[in-house]
Amino acid sequence: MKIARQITIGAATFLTFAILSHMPAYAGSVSEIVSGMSAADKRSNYTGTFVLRKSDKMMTMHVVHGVDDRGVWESMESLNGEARKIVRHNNEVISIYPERKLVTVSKMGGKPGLHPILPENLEKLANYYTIDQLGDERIAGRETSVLNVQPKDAYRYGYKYWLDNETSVLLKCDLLDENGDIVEQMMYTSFNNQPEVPQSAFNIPDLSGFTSQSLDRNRGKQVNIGWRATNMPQGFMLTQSVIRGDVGNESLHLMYSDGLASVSVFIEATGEGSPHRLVGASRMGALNAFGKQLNGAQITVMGEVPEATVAAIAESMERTQ
Amino acid sequence: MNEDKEKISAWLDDAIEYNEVGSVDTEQEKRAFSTATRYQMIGDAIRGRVTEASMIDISASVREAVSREPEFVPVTRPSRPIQRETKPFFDLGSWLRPVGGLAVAATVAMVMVVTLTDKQEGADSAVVANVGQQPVQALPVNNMTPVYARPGVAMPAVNLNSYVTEHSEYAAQDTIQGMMPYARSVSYGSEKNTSLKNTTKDTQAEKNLGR
Repeated sequence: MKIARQITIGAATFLTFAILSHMPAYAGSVSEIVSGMSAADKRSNYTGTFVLRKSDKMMTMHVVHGVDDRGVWESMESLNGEARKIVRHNNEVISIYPERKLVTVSKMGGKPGLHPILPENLEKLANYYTIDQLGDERIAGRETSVLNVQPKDAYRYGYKYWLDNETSVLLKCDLLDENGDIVEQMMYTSFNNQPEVPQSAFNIPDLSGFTSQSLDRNRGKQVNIGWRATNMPQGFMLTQSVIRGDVGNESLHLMYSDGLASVSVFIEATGEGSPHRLVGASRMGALNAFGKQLNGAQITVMGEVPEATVAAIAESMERTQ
Repeated sequence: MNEDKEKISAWLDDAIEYNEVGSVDTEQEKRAFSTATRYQMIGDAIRGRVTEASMIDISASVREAVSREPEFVPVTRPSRPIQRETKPFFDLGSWLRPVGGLAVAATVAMVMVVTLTDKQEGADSAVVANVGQQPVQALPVNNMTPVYARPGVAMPAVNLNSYVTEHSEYAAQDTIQGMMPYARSVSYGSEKNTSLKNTTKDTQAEKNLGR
């Protein structure tokens, strides 16, 4: 199976280059820029500081990103507000909250990150977004290429990307709502591309006395989803289904994505003494959520998409058995 | 030897108990088992499967174990852009370091991620196509209508901490935006109570539910 997988990955890589090399010049340039943005995570070493603005909140974070023979390492540390540090190694994430003496550990599934870089998926993106290259701008003292990504319908937000010309790292990102207003903005204020970064940035401090939470403490042999979305905005596809929570108190987490936007659907049984559940719409910055109850189950849908999208998905959920 | 590996792997996956591992036959497997035991201990400590008091004790043991741990040297070693420094206490790198062919990842409590791809061997490259086969009826493009009107009635705040965190971290796997979802995750987590205010203007949702 391992050999078959390697052959499959090899074939996908070959196809990627083969198809990209035969794309029209304009489409190829945009495609390559988009592909480069995805690949930058796996080949770049840098340190930097960026600001993230959501609604009326702004936070500053220091980032160290490195790649070695064991994969991708990333450390993000908040410089204002509550102290928090995230250390990521590939798809394993440790979040440390020193003030709360809390550490969370999560390991995401082993799904290969092929979704965004397969050429057919880039072409699919073009079905739902118009992608234009706007020219060059300077961010954090570096030349960037600017991509404007506009949705073709009202079910998703628009994006504006500023990508470093040398590394393809995303140096600035605007998330635009259906009115074209910025609902979230990230921008590097300093960025240093380096041949090496210090591994000390990825060290985990002494966690004695910390309360730890595993965000993925469940396991099982088989998942029977039992639910489906009957009216899904075009382009959103089920990418993962996960059983979460403790035994006897499980909930289902379905993740849908169109390649840029992601929507989560959480389904759990409601019962006596259940905490207050979300019914109706809710919003925090770019994140919209919508909750409803159906057949003894609480359905909560959330994502960085318009309110109407999460509402439509929530309303379309139905049991299949 | 393969049987030894299977036993150790089964123990790491909690499929069998420690005492069911029994004896392992080769020196190499004994070393691997010993190392895996230490990694299991580290994983347990991190995941809170031990008491606070024992965690302190384990920390000391881990510190000692990690300091004795030989550097893992892969057969082929590509460029190493990350500068190796003095091995720190609770070095994540050591924690996650591969052990003699054993999947150390098995020591971490695995989330049960089931994609349709998992059911189809060798189909990794077709993740999107496969998972997209769930039957859904797509909504027509440019046919957007608001489902609910905007409210005025203030609803109680709902704590969605765990949902938001989980959404952010999973979203990172399904998008091309690199670290952006992780940055969002940090920002959401920085708000000690990730409470979303209900914005539904009227009780239309409840009416629809027949309440």
